[in-house]
Amino acid sequence: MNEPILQCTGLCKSYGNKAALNNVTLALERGRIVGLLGPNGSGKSTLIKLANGLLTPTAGEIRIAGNLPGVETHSCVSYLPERTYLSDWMTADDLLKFFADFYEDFNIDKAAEMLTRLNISAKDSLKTMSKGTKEKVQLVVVMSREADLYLLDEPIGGVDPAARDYILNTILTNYSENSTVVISTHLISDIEKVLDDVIFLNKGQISLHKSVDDIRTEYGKSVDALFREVFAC
Amino acid sequence: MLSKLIGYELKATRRIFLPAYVVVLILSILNGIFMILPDNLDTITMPFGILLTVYVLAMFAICVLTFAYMISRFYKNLLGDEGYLMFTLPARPSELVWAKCITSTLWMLFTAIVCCVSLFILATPIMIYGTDFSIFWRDLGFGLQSLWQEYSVHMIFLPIVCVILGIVWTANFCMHIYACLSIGSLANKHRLGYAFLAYLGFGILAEILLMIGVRFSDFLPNNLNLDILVENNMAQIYVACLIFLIYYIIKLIINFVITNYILSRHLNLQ
Repeated sequence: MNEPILQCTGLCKSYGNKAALNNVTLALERGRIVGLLGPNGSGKSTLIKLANGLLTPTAGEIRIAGNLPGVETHSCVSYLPERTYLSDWMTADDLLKFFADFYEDFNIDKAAEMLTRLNISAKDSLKTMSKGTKEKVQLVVVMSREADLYLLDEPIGGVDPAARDYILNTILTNYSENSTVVISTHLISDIEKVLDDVIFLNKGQISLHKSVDDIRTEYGKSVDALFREVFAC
Repeated sequence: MLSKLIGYELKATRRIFLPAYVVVLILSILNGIFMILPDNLDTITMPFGILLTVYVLAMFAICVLTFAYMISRFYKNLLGDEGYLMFTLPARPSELVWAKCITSTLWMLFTAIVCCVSLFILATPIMIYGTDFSIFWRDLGFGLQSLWQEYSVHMIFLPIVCVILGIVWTANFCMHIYACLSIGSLANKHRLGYAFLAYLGFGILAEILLMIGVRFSDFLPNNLNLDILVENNMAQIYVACLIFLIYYIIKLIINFVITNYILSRHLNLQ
């Protein structure tokens, strides 16, 4: 149980000659909500994709609960990508059944209830939904899993401010104390209140990894204010 | 997991193929009926011409659709945005690849069957129009009897062998395209272009290997009489089928290994 849920050792990833991640070493404990913060192109999405096995490291390794990304880790990681991965031919109901079919930890009743709360009809075709609604549906299925690790890449970027509070509340109330949630976003002020820890990623390297409480004590400012200061153009 | 993936894949694709099959079969029935209408009805000449053209186009379209869908399902569902979901399922990449290959092979076979059935439906009204059925069945029975006397059990075995060969050829064809698309996915840009280059590269490589094989066969000892293996024409056909079967199974395995290796070890969903 003391084993980190996510551990990177000397992790590097390059696209051609461009380094997206450079020698990242990191360990995340269980039961934390972690903000993965950084400007555009800092390597946030790359790190999350590597954790899901969607990219292969150029050097170093990444482990989830001690395992390299693979079938075992996919069973315990719930991933929300920054783009829509839904098949247009499905209805929301089809998607729920699909998740129930493939993930043992998927709670279909919880998902159906969350869709109702968000005023999304399960009979609606995904093709006819707006981008924001699709993102809500994706978040619903991702948070309806009882996973050990949630990797959420820009979960609130495409939704209206009114839905953000519900989504953040959903994230807070839908993970167990033994699970870890990693949220990558630019909208720091919106999520700051739910974060336990913060990681600043800059040009593919970790420039800061501290708890939110430590940041407030040491720097005497909010995470949002510190981010603006550190990454000022 | 593989059966679940195949089930999902069939569900995703049947909504396109089943209506297309129904349209082709209806068009063949309509064309068949038009063909036995009297020639002196000038009023039907133009509609029949249009209907026949639509039928030919539909047959062509269904073949193109099957081919295009085989490529697009793999490319979109695994190497495109949908791959973010598929590759995070608790399934091995090999299972994802086989699910695609088996489903595409099934649809290609179904398309071939539908085309044959459609042509049979088209020809049936002409065959039976004005025919005395007792003569028709007698001739059919006589024909089958003659074939049985000539070829005996080969009349059953040979079609089975050909169907198996056809299935393996089709599966290899799909897997070969998947291997090329996987190689293309390693590039950061112009992935389809690189996939096409890979396809050309494999084609050139196959030609070179064939030429080497032909040259090598010239050096075989003259006393190695391969004709011993084949005592008659039927045996020659079976041996040829077996050689082709082994050849396409080996190619299928090679293409699968390439695809699986890239998607397992070098997945590059940017």
